[in-house]
Amino acid sequence: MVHKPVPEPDELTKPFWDAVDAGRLEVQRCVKCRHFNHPPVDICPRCHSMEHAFEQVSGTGKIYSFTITHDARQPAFTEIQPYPVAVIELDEEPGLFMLTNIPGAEVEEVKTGLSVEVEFEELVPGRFIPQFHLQR
Amino acid sequence: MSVTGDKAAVVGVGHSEVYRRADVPLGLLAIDACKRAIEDAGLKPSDIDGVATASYMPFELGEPELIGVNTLNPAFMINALDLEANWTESVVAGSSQHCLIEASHAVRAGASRYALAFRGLYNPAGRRYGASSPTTAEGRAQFRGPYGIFAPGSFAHYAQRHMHLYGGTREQMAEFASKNRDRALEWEYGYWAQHGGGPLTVEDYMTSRMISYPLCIHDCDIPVQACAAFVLTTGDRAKDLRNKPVYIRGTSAPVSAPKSLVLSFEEFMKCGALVGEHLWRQSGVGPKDVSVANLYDGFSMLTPMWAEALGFCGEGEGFSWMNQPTLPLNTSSGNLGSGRTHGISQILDSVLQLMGRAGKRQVPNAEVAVATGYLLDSGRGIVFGTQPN
Repeated sequence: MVHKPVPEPDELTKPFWDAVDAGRLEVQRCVKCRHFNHPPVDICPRCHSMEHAFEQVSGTGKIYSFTITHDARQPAFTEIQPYPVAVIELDEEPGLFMLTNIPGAEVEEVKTGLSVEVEFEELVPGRFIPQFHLQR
Repeated sequence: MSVTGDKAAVVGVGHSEVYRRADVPLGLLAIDACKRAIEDAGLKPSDIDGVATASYMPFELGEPELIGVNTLNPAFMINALDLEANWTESVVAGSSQHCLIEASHAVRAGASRYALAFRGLYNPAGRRYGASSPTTAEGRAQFRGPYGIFAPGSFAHYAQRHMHLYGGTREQMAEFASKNRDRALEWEYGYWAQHGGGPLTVEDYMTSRMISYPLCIHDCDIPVQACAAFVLTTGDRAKDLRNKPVYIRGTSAPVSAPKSLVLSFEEFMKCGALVGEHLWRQSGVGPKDVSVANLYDGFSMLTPMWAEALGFCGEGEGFSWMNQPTLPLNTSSGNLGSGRTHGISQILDSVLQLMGRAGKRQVPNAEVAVATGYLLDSGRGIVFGTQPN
């Protein structure tokens, strides 16, 4: 069965994906300067500290920009096109971006500025990704 | 040595035939383009002692690199043309400007007397452009792959935000794309002119197939297989050759590494502004001194963004400016008009304009041209001039 590509966790990203698979959105945060780093890093780009911890976040944010994919070139996505891909900015910090397909919304409903909230999509048994739906 | 003596100049150009989907190796087109450029400069292959190219496949599908077939490197051309090269550079980068920029540094430094810079794009028969079916997503793709965002989409959301902030419309893009197609039919080195393309009406654009909103098929340059080559030398040596030398007055090749998953729109535009800052400072000219601007358009909305970033118009004015430009714009018809060659047409037309060889496209008294390549966060730019700085 064709499925969306499943993330391959590595040493840096494993805590993120473990939390997601347990139903929590956690983002790496620099212990020293408190800057959220996503994707997770070794060295904080702001203060160069190597001390980080994963912190659960509210799961809310706003749509920053988006596209609607009409012509995907991968079978898992041609099956469901057209679909939105939105860049959302989490409420915790400006510039803290994640992607989402805005599940449950019609493509015409997707607009910059709308509020969103996290949910989790199962790609294959036991493996999830965060998604963000419109807060209605 | 005269005052122009050690400045870098383009003295020869060559372009291969353009294929839509080729059943010949890319190397064959590269050899053709390089031979043409060397001949155009009035030189022989034995004069070339520096070689630069980009070793970058047009689309990585996990296939092995086969030098001369789907990718190019300096060694391939050195062998093919029996060159004795003292200097080579192989850049892993998108925009075609990059190998010219490197070659210009080499001739100015004296590392090469006559340098050959060439770039080819590969698009074979028998495969749908961009198709793949990965089951996993590694590295940065962990956070992107599962959401089904691809190359057009990775840019499209910047276009969406630009239009959201400043009110640009698809109708304005339709007008731009339509006029650009007319220019494409005059651009003899491009796909549409060589393969019987016809006019593109505003209605054609507005009713065409969407790729990744707001990009439709006519906002995306058509994948082709083609190669172009340029010969560079110093001003002193250029005096003895047949073409009017076109000096490289300013270059910009910044590197941007996003600090987070997505570069913000504001940072994206700032990257382009940084390119502009370097180009104007190095070249000693500004937007008002430019005779012809060839601004990258691999995705059409990049042209208004480059225009704003370089200061040809104010912030957010790009969409209206591009349809009423204050100077000749994209006389090459860009990549939209010629096919996906990562900035070759912008460079080639700029050089031909300043050499006075642009034929029907000729801008009278063209003295300064600017050619930008690629997206604003990974872009390169060159300012060319009939006079050195």
